[in-house]
Formats: sequence, structure tokens, C-alpha cells
Amino acid sequence: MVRVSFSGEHLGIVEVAKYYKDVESAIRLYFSEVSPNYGTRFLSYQICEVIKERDERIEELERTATFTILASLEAAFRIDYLNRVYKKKKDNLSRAFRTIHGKCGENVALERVILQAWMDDDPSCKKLIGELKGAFKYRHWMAHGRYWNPKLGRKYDYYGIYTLAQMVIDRFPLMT
Amino acid sequence: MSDLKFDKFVSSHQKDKVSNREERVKGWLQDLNDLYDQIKGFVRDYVDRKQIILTSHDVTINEEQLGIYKAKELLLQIGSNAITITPIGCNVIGARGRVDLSGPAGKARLVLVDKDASRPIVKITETPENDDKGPATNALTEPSGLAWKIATPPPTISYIELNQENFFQAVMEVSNG
Repeated sequence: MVRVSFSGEHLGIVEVAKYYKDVESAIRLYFSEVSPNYGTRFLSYQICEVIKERDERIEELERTATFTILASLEAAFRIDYLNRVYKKKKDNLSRAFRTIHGKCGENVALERVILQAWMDDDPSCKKLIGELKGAFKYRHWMAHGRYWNPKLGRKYDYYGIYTLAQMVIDRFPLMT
Repeated sequence: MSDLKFDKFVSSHQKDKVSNREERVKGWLQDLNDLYDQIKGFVRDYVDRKQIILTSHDVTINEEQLGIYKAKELLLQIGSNAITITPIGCNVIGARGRVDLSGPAGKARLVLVDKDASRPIVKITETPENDDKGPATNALTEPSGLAWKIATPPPTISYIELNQENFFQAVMEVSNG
């Protein structure tokens, strides 16, 4: 079996949150009167226009951070899938993953195969996986350029997605 | 089966849906009022001394499963600092409702959660086979009672009690960073 070589560049959700926090603080500072370039950058702006522009930058940052969190969750589930195959654990989920790997290899669909196997193994996580699948639809919308009005069932934002990610990490014993 | 019978079936489900939606919005607006009453209590002395000006106005919220409705947004004017207390919605991940406290230095979140919860949790419950609501529901937990709490920001989200001291702390953080 040819094993996938892990890059080690997989970012955990905590790292994404730290990055978000630093960049958000930097944006707020840049758009505040103590910023060294404030007078020239915002020459002739009204204060409400500065605030509007600042909020737009933060909103975009939220979206990109949200996207990275969801990518991080996907990576965590995929690394877990491969580790369970490689480490030949005896639990039911690892056995199920080895059977799937025997047929499909490493390129398996996250939602249809990996998350389904988790749900089959533990039906009590059905609602949480349902939430996760909904959030991946949001990621799909972002990844493809957001050009249509998506029907997602709810609004997603950075805080909501991070809350979901924290619940997922706490709930699933992922082998990463 | 006749078309008429099917029409009846469809309309009965429509009625259920509308009344459930109305009930849910009504309950959520009541939860918001309860929160606002708490906040007004926290700042009452400052408002009486005219050190804080408290106003409110309607904002329009559009939640996919609940439609469009109006809710109150509060504004706390403390000198030149404006703090808004904005309802986000009741169809949110991991909570029964969320309100954002925003100021020039950032945001804090107030969430309506299980009164005993100290962080976002998923209670493990057996799910019936045909219960396929997926992301349509936010009932990840079955609370024994609800309370408004302050959610700390990522990377570690935890819930702290909403009392006067913690609320003032949150207001200072979103004002000054």
C-alpha cells in the first residue's frame, strides 16, 4: 500500500482563531485614529465611511477564516481516516475504513463516505454531522465564488462555524 | 389517491409550518425582551444619572426557516462610544439564540443556552431512524432550562454568567479592546 505523505502544514482550528484575532486587531488599529497613515489613507472620509469600510474588511476576514476552519475540519477527518487504515486498529470504525480503503483508496468523498461511516458507527452523532454537512455546503458556496444565492437553512459566520468546529473536535475522537 | 386529498395534506402541513414558525419567533422575541430587561437593570443607575443614553429601534432580521421579522436593537451611548446590542437570530449553531454586543474595539456574544452549560456541548441522545432533520434544527442539545450567557471568543469558547460585573467587563472590552 502506498501511503499518503502528510505535509505537516495542516492548521488546527486554534491556530486559525489566533490568526483571526491578530488580523482583526490589526484591521481595527489600521482603521483607528492612532494609525500612522490615518490622515492620508482616509483623507476626506466621514467617520461613518471609515467604520463601514472597516466592517467590510472584518466581514471578509471572517469569511476567509471560516473557510479555513472548515478546510481544517475536512483535513482532520481525512487524516483520521488514513490513520485508522494505516494503524490497523481493531475498533469497528477502523475496520469499516479499511474495507472502504480497500475498495476506494484514499480519495473518498468526505460527506458521503467518511461522515456516513461515523454516523453508522455512532448514530447519536447524526444531528452534529447534519450541522457539519450544512456548513460544508456554505464552504462549497464560497469555494465556487459565491455567485449564486445559496439555500443553506441558516446564516453562517465565523463565530457560529468556530462553535461548530469546537463541538466537533470535542465530540469525535479523531486520530490526527 | 385524488389530487384533492393530496392538496389537503399539503395545506395542513403548510399551516403547521406557519404556526410553528410564528410560535418560534414569538418565543425568541420574548427571550430577547428578557435579555433587554436584564441589561436595562444593569445600567439603570447610569441612565438615571444621564451618563449612559439608552435607546432602541427596530431592525429587520431574515432567517431562512423563520422568514422576515422585526426585533429590537439596543444602543448604549457612553460619551462618544456607541455600543450596539444586535439580535442575530434564534437559528444559530449550538445555541437557542444569539445577540452581538459591538463597539469600536470588537464584538462580544451573548448566547441563549442551557442554564448549566459552561461551553458548547453536544448531549448524546439516541436518534430515531426516521428523524432526518439535519441542519434544519438547532436542537443539538436538549436543555433543562435556558439562560443568557456571555460567550468568550475563540480559540476556547466558554460560557460565563451574565451578571452586571461581567456585562460591564464585556462593554469595556468592546469599547477599549
